Amino acid sequence: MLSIKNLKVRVDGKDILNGLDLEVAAGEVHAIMGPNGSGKSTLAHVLAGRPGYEVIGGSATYQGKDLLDMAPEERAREGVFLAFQYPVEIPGVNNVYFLKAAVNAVRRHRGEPELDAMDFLTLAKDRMKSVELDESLLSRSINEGFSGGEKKRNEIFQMAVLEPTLAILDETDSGLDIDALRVVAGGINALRNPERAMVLVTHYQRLLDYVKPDFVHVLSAGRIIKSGPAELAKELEARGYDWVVKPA
Amino acid sequence: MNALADLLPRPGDEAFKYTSFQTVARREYADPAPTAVDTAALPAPYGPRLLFVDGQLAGDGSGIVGAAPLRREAPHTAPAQANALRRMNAALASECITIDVPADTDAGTLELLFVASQHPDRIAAYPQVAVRLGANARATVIERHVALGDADDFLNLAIEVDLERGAQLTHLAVQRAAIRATVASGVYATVAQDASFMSHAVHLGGSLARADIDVVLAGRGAHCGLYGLHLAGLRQHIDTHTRIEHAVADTTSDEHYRAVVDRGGRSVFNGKVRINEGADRSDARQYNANLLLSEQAEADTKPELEIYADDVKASHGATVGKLDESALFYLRTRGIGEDEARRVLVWAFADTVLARVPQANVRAEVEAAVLARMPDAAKIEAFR
Repeated sequence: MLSIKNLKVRVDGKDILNGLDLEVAAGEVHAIMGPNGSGKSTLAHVLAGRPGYEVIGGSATYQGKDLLDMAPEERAREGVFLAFQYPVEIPGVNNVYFLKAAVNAVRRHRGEPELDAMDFLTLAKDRMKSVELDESLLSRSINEGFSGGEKKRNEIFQMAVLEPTLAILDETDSGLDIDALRVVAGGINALRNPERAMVLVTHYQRLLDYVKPDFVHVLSAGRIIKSGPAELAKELEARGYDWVVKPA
Repeated sequence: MNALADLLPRPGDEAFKYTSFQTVARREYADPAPTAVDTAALPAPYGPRLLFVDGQLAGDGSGIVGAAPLRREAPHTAPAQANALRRMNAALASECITIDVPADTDAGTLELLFVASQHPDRIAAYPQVAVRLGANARATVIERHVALGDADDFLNLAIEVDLERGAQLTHLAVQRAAIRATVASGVYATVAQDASFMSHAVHLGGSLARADIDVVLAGRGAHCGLYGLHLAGLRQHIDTHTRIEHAVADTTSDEHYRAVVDRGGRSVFNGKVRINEGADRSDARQYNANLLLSEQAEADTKPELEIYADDVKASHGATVGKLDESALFYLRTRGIGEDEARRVLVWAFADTVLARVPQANVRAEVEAAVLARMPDAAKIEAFR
């Protein structure tokens, strides 16, 4: 589904990704781990199309199409979803209307009929339950005044509504207490299916106690330097990143 | 230079630091001639209407506007400390239209409609209005500016407001003057004990628009709330100067102005708050936010706090910035197209102020007018 080859990315004149390779197939969950500054968030953002991230080499192919050639909104309509590490507060833009417009942008792109307000609300309320989000948040401005945990759950809620094919979750566990982590992980697990792939970007392995990945990759200095099964995360937790980054 | 030059704000006048009236000083203006306008061409009234055509009260203006008696008086003189525009209005006005709302009366909604007719000569006019609310009286006064042509007239309007104890006045200004017009409008309010003055102003028109709102909170428990939006596009200069004086203790004020400035436009906001000696427990809040949509857009914002009392709460904040790129990216990652995302964010910025307009039909007009200034407004409708 996603094939990244020798990807090199520069941000603000600094080389952040230096030849990254990654293959993700439908149904798989990949965890990208690594120390701070290794390029994890850059990878997440460049896949979503953040402006200002300069691709200076390599390729990323998604469902046979050149992902890097698409505008962020085209990627979203093609089924790519980024859950933000720091979801943006947007005062004055109502959650319901925003998400309905988003859903319908995707549906139009797929040639499906748009949802009307009633159908959308039914869908939204159903999906809110999966992440235990209070319905009152629907009528508020996007993320405005949300607690840290509510913002993260709102990301997973949006993912549940938009039903992406490829979900990229950037540090979705950061800043969550253990109860919120369990809820968020439950929301993610509920969305796992054979047609959908997920890339979990995370510094700590604790999310992976709840969402068991099929593969774990260690990113360092903009390259994947080690890949392995879920157990690799445990080993990283026990031994630290230095063990892989600077082998004795 | 014309005969008005001596009366207009002079270069170097601190109250007009960013806003020059020198183009007015260079132009020739005629006095308004009696003009009949086709009332069918006017917008539907929000309430009993006082119609001013080219600044002159149409009809005989006698009798009653709704529940409020109306008088035509000799023009009022301007107080000594008044700014140049108010002094000019006092010097050149031919009369003062005075609306008196008796004590304990709810006058409902009154509309002051200022219509610029289609006419050949450039016109200058100086309407003067006084609104007095007796004790515990209530009223909403809508100051509405529309143009039937595209004349580059000069209108210098002054509205005196006098609120007695416990009175409540809401002032709604919908300024949709011709795009080449020069519009000066001043509201000068005195607010007695437990009375409140609320103002919501939306400025969309004019090549040069200057609004002054001057409020003296003269009695304990007096309150004012001043809210407004500037939408300044190509060759538009929109300036609001507010001055709030907390003259006595236990007075409160809240102020929130925003400006959206597009290419070739300029917005000016100056908010002065003065808390006098002894005006303890005064609470004054002020906020001004400016959104620049182009490198060729300019906003000047200046809060001025003068505090002579010890036990007060006063806060102010001002921002000038471009559209939030991270918000734009966030919307796009959810499938919203870039142009639509930009428009939605601009709309959200502006609507923060518009949504506070208390009267639904007026709110609908200003929201529609602001939406109409954004291309592809229909797409934004989906977000409302």
